[in-house]
Amino acid sequence: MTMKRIKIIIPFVLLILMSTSCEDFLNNPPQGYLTSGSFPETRKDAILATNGVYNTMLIWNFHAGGFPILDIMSDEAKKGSNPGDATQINAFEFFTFSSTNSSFNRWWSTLYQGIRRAHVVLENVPGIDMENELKTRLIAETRFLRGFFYFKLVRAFGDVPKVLSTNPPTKLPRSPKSEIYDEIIIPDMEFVIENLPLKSSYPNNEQGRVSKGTAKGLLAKVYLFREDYQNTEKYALEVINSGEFSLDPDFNHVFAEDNPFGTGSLLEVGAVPENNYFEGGNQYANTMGVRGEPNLGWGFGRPSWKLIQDFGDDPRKDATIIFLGETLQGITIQGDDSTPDTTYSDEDPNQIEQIECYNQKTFAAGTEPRYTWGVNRKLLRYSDVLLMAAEALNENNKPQQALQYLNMVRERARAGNPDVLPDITTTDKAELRDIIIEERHRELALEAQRYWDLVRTGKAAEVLGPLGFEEGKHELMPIPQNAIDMSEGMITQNPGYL
Amino acid sequence: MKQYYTCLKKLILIPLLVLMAMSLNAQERTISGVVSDAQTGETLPGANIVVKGTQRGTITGTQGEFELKIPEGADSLVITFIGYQKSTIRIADKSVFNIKLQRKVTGLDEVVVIGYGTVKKSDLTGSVSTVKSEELTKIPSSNALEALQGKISGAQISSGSGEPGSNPIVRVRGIGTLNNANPIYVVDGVIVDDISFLSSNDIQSVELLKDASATAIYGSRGSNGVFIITTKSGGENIEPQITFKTEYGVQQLENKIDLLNGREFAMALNDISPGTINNLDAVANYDWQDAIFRENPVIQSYDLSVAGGNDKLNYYLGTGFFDREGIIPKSNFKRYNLKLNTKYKAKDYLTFGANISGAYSNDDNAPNVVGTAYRAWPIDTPYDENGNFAEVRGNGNPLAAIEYTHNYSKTYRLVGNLFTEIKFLDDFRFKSSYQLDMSHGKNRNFTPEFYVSATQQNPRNALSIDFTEDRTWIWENTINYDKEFDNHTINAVAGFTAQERYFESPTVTVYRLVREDPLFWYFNATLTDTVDVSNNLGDAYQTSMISYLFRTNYSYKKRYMATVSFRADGSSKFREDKRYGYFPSFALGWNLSNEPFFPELKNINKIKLRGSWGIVGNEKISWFDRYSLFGSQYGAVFGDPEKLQPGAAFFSAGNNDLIWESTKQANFGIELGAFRDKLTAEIDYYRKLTDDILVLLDVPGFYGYGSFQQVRFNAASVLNSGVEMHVSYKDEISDDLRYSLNLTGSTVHNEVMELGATTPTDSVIYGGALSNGKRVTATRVGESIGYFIGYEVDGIFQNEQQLEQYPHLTDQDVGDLRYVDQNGDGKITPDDRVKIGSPIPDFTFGMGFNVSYKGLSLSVDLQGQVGNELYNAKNQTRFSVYNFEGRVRDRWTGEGTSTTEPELDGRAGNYEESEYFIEDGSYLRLRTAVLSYDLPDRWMKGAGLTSASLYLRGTNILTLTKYSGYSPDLGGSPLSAGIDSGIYPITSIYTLGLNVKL
Repeated sequence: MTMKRIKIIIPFVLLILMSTSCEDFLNNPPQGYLTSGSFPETRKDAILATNGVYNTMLIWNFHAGGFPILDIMSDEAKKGSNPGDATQINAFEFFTFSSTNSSFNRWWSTLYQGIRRAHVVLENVPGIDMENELKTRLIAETRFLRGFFYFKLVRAFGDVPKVLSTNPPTKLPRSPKSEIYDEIIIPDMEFVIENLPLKSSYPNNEQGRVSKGTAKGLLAKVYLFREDYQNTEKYALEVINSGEFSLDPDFNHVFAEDNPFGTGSLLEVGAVPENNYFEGGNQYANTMGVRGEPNLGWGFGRPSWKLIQDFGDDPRKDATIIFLGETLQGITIQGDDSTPDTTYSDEDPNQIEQIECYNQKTFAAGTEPRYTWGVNRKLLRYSDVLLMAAEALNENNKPQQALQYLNMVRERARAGNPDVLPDITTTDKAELRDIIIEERHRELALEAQRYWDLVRTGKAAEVLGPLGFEEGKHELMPIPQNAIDMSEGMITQNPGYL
Repeated sequence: MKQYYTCLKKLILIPLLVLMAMSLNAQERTISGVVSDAQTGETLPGANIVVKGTQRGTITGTQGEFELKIPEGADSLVITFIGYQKSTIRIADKSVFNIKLQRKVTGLDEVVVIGYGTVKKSDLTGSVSTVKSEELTKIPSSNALEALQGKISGAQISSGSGEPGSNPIVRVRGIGTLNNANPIYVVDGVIVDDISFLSSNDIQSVELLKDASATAIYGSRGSNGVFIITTKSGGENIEPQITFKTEYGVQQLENKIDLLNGREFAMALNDISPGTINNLDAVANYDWQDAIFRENPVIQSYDLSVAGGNDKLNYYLGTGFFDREGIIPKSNFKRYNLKLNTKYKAKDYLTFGANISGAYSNDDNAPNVVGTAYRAWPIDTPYDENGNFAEVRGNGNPLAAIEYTHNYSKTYRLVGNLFTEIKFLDDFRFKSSYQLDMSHGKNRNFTPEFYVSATQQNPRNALSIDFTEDRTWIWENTINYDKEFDNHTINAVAGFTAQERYFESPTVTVYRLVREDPLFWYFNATLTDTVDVSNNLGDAYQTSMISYLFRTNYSYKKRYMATVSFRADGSSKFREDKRYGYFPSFALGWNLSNEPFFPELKNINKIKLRGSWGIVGNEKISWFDRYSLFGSQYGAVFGDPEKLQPGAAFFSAGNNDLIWESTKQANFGIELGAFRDKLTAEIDYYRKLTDDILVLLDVPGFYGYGSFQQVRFNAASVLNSGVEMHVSYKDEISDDLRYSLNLTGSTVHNEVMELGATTPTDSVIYGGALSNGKRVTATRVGESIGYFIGYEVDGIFQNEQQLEQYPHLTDQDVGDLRYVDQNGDGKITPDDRVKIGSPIPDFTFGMGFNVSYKGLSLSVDLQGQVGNELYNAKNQTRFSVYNFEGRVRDRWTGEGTSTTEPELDGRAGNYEESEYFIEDGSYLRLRTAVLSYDLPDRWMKGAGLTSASLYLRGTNILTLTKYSGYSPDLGGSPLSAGIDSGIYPITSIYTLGLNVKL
């Protein structure tokens, strides 16, 4: 090859090199992932996306940021675990938490995460070509969950940013709580009641999906929190009279592992024993599992000494609390080495402050942590509906009817022992009101109900004041500090917090 | 494995012994030849030729010719000539010699490798540091970069973990970014992310490109610095040079952490809850550090290479084996590597060749028992009376953790290029190079079924295998133009490159293998149908990049120099219309001492000034940062019996508006030579401003991205500035006695200028998350990146009165640390946390001293840093009662007993992030000391060798530091640097080495 030839060839080579199409070369779409725009677009996608909304409830942070802080703030539980572990949770026992406590941000963010997942369904599923019946059901299930997530938001934080799509404005102020109720939560529930099937019409393998009864039960609760007793009564009675639910005769069996979505279950987060949430595990249960031996969890949310006393001779005590040395399903509970078996008060060395014990409602037989991940979380039970009915009927001056439902719950709790939990007969409104709240305390203990019950009935200052509760402040949680910081002041703080 | 290893040793040793045994048996005979200059071909009259090991010799005539009678058994000729490098030539049975001598290069005449070309040091306008091969092999390590610690100004190199096979952490000129701050490495033109596949012995030189003038040719990848690694090559008409090198050594723990012994710990327990241990004399005293660290683990290496060439072909072939046992059992690293560099001149205008490195490494990973041993109760012992593992309080039984961990990685790596070079139109060169970086890895992890205690057990055996495939190809096409005319010199290069990377790494886990023997560590052996394919790792990605580059160096009369460079990079990591980044640079240089007016100074013989400005980028972000992706593993559980139904939901949130992160860097340098270059100094000042830093930030919760989801934004600006200097002094007192001194030092000022101005974020980024969730670093405008935050401590609450008087945390009591209420609101809240230290040193430095007398030489290197702090996180993260550090011996036990060391009371108040956990990170380390001895020539002759030397070397011999942990040079990512959560200790190494040349 002569020099001359090379001279000629080179520019051509260069030309070819430079002119190859670069833009195509630089397009590398993600491999192995769905992207927004390509999902959801089929019938199957619609189901996947809807299940994805349910999945939010398996996220640890969905449950008040993961630790059972609502139980700890109430008189039912103490921080738990051993004294040196997760000391930031002490702040909930003593009401010293501030807006920078990360539990709030994790909780708030995860509720909105569920809302965004719901909007994926609500924005895309209506346009998918599929049978109408299933489409409507999926949309209704999703609207229930969105409404439920908003309910949890307003109950905890009061006024909150109103997000109605997957792409909200970059900055949003808080919308009044009443607006969230009237424009989102209540219309969502009404839509669901109209469009979802009954629990009994779901096949066995779809049990656990929300049903008409779930929405009615939740709506009863929503109205109870708005002190609209007429509507509470209406929806609670509709649930009761639907014949869809009943009280399991055995209180222990309600929480049994082999009884998922049982006869008294209106809303329940299904879980299987896998130690991560994308395989169906429920870490929130593991958080409260027995610490030490058997090693079933972290042991947070220790039942308080007061709760033990409040049970008295109520048989539900043994079904709610695991005591050291107890043998459950062949497993002897020995507990944790670095946790004192008994802690005495600083002021009075004879006064027991707490004993090492655990929440039995999240117990699963087994010797490794994975098993408690399989414990379902009950979010709405039939006995709760019965007690809501009783409370509303009492407020609506129908004490006899109220007593009927209250005594149904007590009768089941009695477990056939005629010496305990006698039927209530009083028709004194104020007295009955107190009795119902205390019945809720024992029936729903350690189920994150007590704190809100005390707040909504105005009893929080009296019951929780000695623990640090401040009236006018702790009725609401603080807005997460970083939500305020990032809004550059558009989002404001709740009263009493810095 | 053992067989392979013995086998390999044999393979290396047998040919070597054969070669050594060969002795020459020739009669006395006459040889002749010509000596000439290797570059110009000019003959050299007056050159000295001596038969090695004898007095017999001659001097070349006027045409460089010579004739010489050589005795029987003469092995080689030694040729010397003033101004040229000494050359040793094997005689073998040749009788005519065409000997070429290389001109001795000194100081500024050296050639420096820069991106896509070379330049004479005297013409260089950028800031480039060079380290030669002999420095690189001074540290026994699988990674040559370790040897650069303290050798190169402007680079802070931290050993980090001492785990065999781990890579050091390298930061060039401060920390310019909040994401990936690692530099890039260009090995014989191939751009790679690390050089762990190379044996130090195969490296010829390392150049570090620091300023923008030097790095801008690498555009979007230049901003964290560029290391150019040139591997060894053969040469034109060089007799084959066979080199064998071996090292064998042992390692030792440099120091132990001072922890409580059994009795002291029992007393501490009694302080926490009185009456826990009744008989202090009955407790066991077990030293867990002694238990987990091996004694004298071995480090060894064997390297064999041959280099040579004729008129057409030159070659370098190297092979090596490196083996290091970790100080913790079951952590070992072995690497087998091959190197082939070859170049063939097919025609006058056509050359082609290949540079290929292959490595196979075997990495056994031990569990991290450093933290476990630190936490273990010294009153517990590892075995029960039956010899089974016993429960150890604290964080489990470290020995059981080692026993039940089986984690082995194997990696095959191939890095190389094939190239061709065509000369045309006299001054032009076209080069096309196809480059490959391929890595295939497999990690196998088996956990047997076992039970030690409730918290240390595994009820079903499990096998996970993680497969990794990572391959990058780059195709580079460049045209060089080199021209010298009159007083002008021009070197220019223009080019086009394309590259693509593909990565895939699925992980599969199965449970319940039928047997636990290694023969059954395969998926086949599972008894169940439970197969987990890990969700986040089963994806793959492909990224690509297209670049155009240009540079010209111009020099006038060797006095004035100018460099202009430009690179445009297009990357698939950015949206179509934001895809291209443009990176220009300009530089000027002035050789003041070459000016006619420069006076003949007696002392100063050289002064050069240079300055540069340019823009470089950083594109080390993830491929998916721009996408919002759905994951398909977000199912829900329904049905009786319960079953997981699949679901899908947002997996990540992307930002499609991302643009290039870019760094504007200005540099001013001065180079001095004095006493005829015996003393040289190079001093640089730089100022680097990085804008649009690509950083992951929190977003408002109501967006619905989830509580831990962060989104990448262009959200910060950071300034780094500093001075670097390198001073060296060399002298020969006589032909036999030489010495030299080296000194390097660098300062860094690091400051965040802007944060989150264009994003919906907070004005602070918290980092340094510990295992207890506490974040101990903050990054804020006006401060350095990732400084430590926590409570300032101003004493101990001595009595109830003080406790009432000062604000404190709810769970604090008398005897606890007294935190300062910075904002004076009467409460101790997270707002009272302030800056309590910074992991960025003010000054890093290195010192080297060499002296040689005849065949004996001693070399000592020191290295260190001052002005940084470390965070003792292992002491802070306590989930229950663990063993304590020795400092608690001086604890508060009553009023007035201590003002610094709190009471042990089991309360959590003393374990908040605070000054209590901050320690001084300054240190001075005796990095290496080498005593080496060149065996006398007369011994060589009989053995048929050219040269041989033996050496004794100590590495990390002594570290002067106040730090209480194993090692003060921790490293870490920009937002979590300098945090000690129980790091694998680096070791002192004592080696014996042998170097043989045939």
